[in-house]
Amino acid sequence: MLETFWETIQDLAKDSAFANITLQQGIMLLLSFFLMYLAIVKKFEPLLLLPIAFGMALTNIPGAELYHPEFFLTGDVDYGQVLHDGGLLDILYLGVKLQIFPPLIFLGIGTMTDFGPLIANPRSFLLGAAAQAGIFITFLGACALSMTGLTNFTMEEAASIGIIGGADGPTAIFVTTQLAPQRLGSIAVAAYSYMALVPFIQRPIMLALTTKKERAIRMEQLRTVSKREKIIFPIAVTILVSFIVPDATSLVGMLMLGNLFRESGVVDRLVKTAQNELMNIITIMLGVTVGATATAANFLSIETLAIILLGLIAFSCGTAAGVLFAKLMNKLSGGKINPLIGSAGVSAVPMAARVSQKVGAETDPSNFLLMHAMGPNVAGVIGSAVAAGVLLSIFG
Amino acid sequence: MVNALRLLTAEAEGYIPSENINLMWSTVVTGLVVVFLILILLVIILWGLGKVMNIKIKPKKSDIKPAEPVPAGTAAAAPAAAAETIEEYDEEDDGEIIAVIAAAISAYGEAEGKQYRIASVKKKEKALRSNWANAGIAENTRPF
Repeated sequence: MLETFWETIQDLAKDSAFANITLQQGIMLLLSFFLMYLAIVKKFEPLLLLPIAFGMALTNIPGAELYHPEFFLTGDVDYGQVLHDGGLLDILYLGVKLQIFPPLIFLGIGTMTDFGPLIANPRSFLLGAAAQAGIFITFLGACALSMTGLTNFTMEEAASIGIIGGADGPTAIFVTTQLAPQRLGSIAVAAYSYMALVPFIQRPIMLALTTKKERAIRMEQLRTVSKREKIIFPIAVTILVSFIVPDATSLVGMLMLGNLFRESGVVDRLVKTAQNELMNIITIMLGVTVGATATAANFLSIETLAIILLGLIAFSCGTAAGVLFAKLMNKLSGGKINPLIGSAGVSAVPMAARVSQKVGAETDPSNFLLMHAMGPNVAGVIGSAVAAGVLLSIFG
Repeated sequence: MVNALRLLTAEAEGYIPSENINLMWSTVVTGLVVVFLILILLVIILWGLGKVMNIKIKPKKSDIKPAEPVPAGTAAAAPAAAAETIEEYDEEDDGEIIAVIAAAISAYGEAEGKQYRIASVKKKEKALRSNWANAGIAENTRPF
């Protein structure tokens, strides 16, 4: 009996993660602990970074077999194999792979977004478009890095890295899942980490590109937007965007469906579900499974470091493009537009708009830019979804 | 537009960036042009929508006039002058508040050994935001 007991203990020890862990997996576990620290202590986008970090930990535990990246890296996924042999995270990952989760997150975002400031000042759309320059500048940067031989990004990977500049997590995940699933973990971590760092990234750029006089500009109070306009808006946007870029339909369509729910005022139950329970459930599953794609083999590479660097460039260029375009609009409008609202065009709702408000208030505490910045901010969400559609049309 | 994008797609297959400078630049140009085009169209549609519905833009609120300076060193007693002022300016009959203001100024003047006459009391224009709205803005900008 004692012998059997001893053999069992020996088998358990052999099969345990302690006996099988590799150095790379150990590093990934430490990295996941660091991300958990950032999420819990530093409050870095905790709603998504915490499940992402925990998913990263789960996927790097030897022998747990919760996620098998090899199931999804081939062009044609064998869904029978995933359901038969897959672990928990493999099955949950189907929601990402089949592009179900990001559009559902957009549905929830739509129910929580007030497009009123954008409708009241449609020129804000231009700032939302200008800030998307960060996406394409970063795309060029990723291509240039590959040309120098420092990295070996493909065009599809470069496009996925560029979309970090949209400062919109679900959009980045949506594009990367289709174009470069092997980079999903590093791109998602970069996107959400930088989104949490928006105040620190944007402020110095905004201060460097504007004068004190420009930062003190007071904008006219926004007009009142009627309910009818708010109802027509999501329908018009869906039709126009989907007709021109069909690949953006699932993101823009769900965003606008959520918004129509909200503005119609007749489906309160659906609104509550979409912005609370549904959104929370999808957030958990999306976060954990995206984190699970960050296996040691995928994550620990020079390319991940390059993605982290390019992500910072993406956010910075988007901010700078937005501010510079707002300065141009300010000149053309005869000094009626505070250039600080341009930086909010990078999406990152509502953080980027808050930064505009905060930096403006540093110059003049009684100057309230928040509502003016919300226009470009929500325009940025639509702009990044359109940019995603364009990239998917070209490389998808 | 879609066809143009599809053509680019066909070019994209099977190449690496170093061999595809043209595709790289055309992606950037196409992307920026399409994003701007769609959002400019939305600007036009929203602008038209506002016009069609004949939504009046709120008239710009006139600048809040600063309170007139209080001239010092006049002979009349403050409370009496204040009473006159109430009749002249206070449309909402906020007598108690005016009396308190007058008393405060009078007390201030006594401490300095001077007498003030209140020439004018004007109500400041209503604040653009309610206290609730101000609290909301404070809450939204608190983390920094």
